[in-house]
Amino acid sequence: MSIEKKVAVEQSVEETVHVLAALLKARPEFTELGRAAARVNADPQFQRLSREMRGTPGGLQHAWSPEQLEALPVVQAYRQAECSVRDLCHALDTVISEAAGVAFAANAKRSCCG
Amino acid sequence: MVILPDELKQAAQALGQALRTTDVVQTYLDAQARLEADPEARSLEERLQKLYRDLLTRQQAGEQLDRAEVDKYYALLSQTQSHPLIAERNSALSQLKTYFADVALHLSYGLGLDYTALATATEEDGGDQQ
Repeated sequence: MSIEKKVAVEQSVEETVHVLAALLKARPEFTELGRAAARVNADPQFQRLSREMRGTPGGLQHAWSPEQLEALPVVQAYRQAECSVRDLCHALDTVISEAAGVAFAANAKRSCCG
Repeated sequence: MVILPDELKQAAQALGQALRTTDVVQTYLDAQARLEADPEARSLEERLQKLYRDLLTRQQAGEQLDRAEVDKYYALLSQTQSHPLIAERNSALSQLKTYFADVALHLSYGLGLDYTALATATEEDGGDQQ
């Protein structure tokens, strides 16, 4: 492949990544995940419980477990939004991988062993 | 089952097609095709994968694996990795993975989320993606 063609191919990859990212960000699933995250961070009960669970001075035991934190309605809503985004990304990845002729996300995972 | 809107599906197809035209992906696909066309290389890989699955299943069931069996696995692994067509494919795959990780990183920056983690997550994974 000539240098010119290589550059053109790389620009094409960059452009399609840019277009795909913009379309995804505009999806309701993504905007809802952002809103759900903001609601979690703004929730006073979540803030208090997660502060308590990060540890108290002197190693005192707290009354809350991670499962109880996960059971909070704002956290449940966040997990639901996360699940929707995950399903969307799975579906997209199937299309990308089919068109590429090789699995995309599975081969994009970085490992500690390189 | 998620139904993708046409615009999104076309954008995903465009990315896949663009990736396919890169040297890195073409080199990998060609190497994989050469491997699959060679009965000896294909047989070696299939034997290795079957032995690995068998040993893993038994180990996960709580069985203590015999040293000789583990040595047999590593001997077959070494033989497999030394086969020229397999070595060539593995080298091409390694380069492809580096490239895909870079492309996915750009996608993640654009999204503000870890695309790779989301696209490869299973139900059991849970945890924060942000």
